[in-house]
Amino acid sequence: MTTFQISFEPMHEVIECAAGETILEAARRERVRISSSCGGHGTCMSCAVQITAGELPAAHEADSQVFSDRRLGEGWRRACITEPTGDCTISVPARSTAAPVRTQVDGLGNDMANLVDFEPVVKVIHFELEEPSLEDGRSDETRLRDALAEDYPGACETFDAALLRTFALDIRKWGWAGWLASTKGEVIAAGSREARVFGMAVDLGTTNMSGFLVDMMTGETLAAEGMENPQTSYGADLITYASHIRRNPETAKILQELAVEAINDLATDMCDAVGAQASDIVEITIAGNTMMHHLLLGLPVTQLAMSPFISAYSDAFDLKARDLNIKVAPGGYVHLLPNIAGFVGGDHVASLLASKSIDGKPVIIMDIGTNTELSLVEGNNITSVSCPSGPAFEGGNISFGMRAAAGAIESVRLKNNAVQLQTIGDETPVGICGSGVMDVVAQLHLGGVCNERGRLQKDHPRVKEIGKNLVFVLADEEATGGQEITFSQDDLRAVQLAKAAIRAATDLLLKHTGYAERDLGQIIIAGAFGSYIDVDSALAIGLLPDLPYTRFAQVGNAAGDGARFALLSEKQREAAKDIADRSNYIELASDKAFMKVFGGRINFEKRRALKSVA
Amino acid sequence: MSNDKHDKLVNLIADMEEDEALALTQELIDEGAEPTSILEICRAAMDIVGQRFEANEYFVPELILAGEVLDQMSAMVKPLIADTTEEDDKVDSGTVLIGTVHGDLHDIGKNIVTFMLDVNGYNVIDLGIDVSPQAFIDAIKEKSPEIVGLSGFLTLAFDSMKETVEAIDEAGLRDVVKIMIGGGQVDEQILKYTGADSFGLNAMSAVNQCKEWIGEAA
Repeated sequence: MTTFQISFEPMHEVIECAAGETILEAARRERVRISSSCGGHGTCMSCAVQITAGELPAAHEADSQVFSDRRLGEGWRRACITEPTGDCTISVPARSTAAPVRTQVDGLGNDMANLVDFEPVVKVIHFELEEPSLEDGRSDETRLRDALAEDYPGACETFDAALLRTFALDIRKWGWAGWLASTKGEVIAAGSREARVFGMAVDLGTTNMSGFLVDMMTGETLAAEGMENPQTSYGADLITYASHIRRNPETAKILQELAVEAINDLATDMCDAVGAQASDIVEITIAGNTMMHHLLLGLPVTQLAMSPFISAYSDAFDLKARDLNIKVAPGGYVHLLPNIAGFVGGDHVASLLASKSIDGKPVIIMDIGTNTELSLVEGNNITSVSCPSGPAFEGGNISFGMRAAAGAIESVRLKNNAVQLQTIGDETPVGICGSGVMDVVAQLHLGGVCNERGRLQKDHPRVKEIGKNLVFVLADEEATGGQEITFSQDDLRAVQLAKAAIRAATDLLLKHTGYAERDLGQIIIAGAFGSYIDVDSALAIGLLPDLPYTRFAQVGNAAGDGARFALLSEKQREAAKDIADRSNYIELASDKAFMKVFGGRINFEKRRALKSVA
Repeated sequence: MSNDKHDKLVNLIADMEEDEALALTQELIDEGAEPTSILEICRAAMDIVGQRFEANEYFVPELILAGEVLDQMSAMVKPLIADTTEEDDKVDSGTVLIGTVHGDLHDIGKNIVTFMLDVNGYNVIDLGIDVSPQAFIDAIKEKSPEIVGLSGFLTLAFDSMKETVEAIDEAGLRDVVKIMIGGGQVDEQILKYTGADSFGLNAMSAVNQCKEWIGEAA
């Protein structure tokens, strides 16, 4: 088989690429990051790369339509449809390579102790044993059980087999004293007197994931880390995953491995940060959407994304971490929070768990992402809906979209036809992230650059025609020092569809529960994206109901907080189950009214001008 | 009955003036206009809507609205057509079976195609949404259509289309029908993947494909 050497810059990675393989396929295999928000179908621009040296393959027909002749001559191609024809050097733009910020580890912070009593499922118990002798020939296990019988009855009913293999030698090294970790009567881990013991909570999101390292002796959060979910190289939304897997079942295995690798990386990184080892972790709680949950467990997923959207398993689930190849303490467990429905997963349950509702008034809790989940909580009643909202608000499937990283346009203001941009890290703009996408659409609408139907106005000085598509120039070549950054009519359409889906889901949630917008005591916006959006812009484009500012709360990573709650407290873990049981899920896909309401929310409404617009 | 009114109605529909369009339709019916001429107006209006959609001037809301206006107009006009065709010798027009494939619930596109085929004289049997391969097979056996249209919006629907085509093949019916697909971002590659005979990106291309396969309907 013919293979080529391809070098990726600026990361200096050299990989082999087989003839007939696309750049993206080779990069995915070797874990070189190239963003690909449409999942490699050639429908977006996020995987654009530049072949700077070596053999330049002829441009794919579809690339001839999206790049100018000059750009094609300079070696610009989309990685998903370009097959190298010889050794070459490929420059990956900063849009793909910049390290993400804002992957959200900041939720409620470290004040958990005030919110949740530290009463974890895993009990850490200190012990001191009498040394054995010829007169006292009890086995190590009986010795331990006897020592704890009085103070901790039932703590040592069974032992994890992997732990037993090392325990006899270890306990002699430790001088017959140390701690053990017991879960529901099973001893799962042990350590010397000096050793520390940790738990980890993970919010496994479609786009981003975050981890929290908790000291299981005190309940204190010692480290937090966010990273991009490496699974995103296979697509930015759940349906894309499902269709990948349906065509090639092997993909499920790869996606599972990617998730496991990422969880292992989080564990190693955070343990490094506090001078510990991943093997000191005795339990992991994971809150993920139903698709992530199924992929991680190796359950089938294609049925999740198709009507009638049935999950294989919805209750909370515990299994040994080693069964998933997650490398923590050999006897350690993974606890997956329960799901509500095919499109409402443990991450939303975790958000609900961490969000305290106001007494007496209904509250909507909203997790905005590629799939948006909404629950209306009123007393003991929880009603949940979900809607596909696409990756646009995360910068996905947008011509110059990118994750929130240095150089991403995060805020946009339009004044007298001049554009004021703010980028993350005040760097030269290289692309636009979710909050910037929302801002630019709000400004286009408020500034009359698009009409109320979302059509860009040709006569505006910053609007120009490229091929058949109209684009709004955000940053010209002078401002970027390279390729100009534009926001196209198609980008605008993607945002219109996304905001209409979310608003229609809100409308129908209210309709089904019999409330009006003004009845809502609060709208809690959870999630990484939710905490960075400008509520003003979200109101301007009609994403959110037109309520006073004081009724909106942006709470950050509530799912991560909820996963931590479940790690810290058995009662909270029970409460999560209770939330999942109590939730009444309404499937909007089969609601005859959805299309009409959705259609009615796609256009922009005339609205009072904002302070920020002259 | 003036051509002015015809032109006006075409524009009212194309411009999404729902109430006025329906009022004028009623007026034309009351004046004794040929029901088929009104459907011809709808067809002309949908041509304009299609062009405006292509040109990015119209978007999803307009398609939904257009679908609704067409529904109401056919409800007004269809009963009158049934009466007249009984008197005429009904020409043996082509039969098209259409449905949104298994696992997908989207029906805007399918409904517009159904309407357009209908007004172009084809006998259209609409099986609805989330239609199983078996339901397509049963309907092919029962109704003997010349053409089967598989609609789907989700990328996953392409797999359901493939399954449906395969099931039709296994049932020994592949050679008796032509199969066309549409509804989402279909292209040559997806056509090949599904094993269907043709794909279309809008309602007019579905009509043109049917004409090509079985000739002008009566």
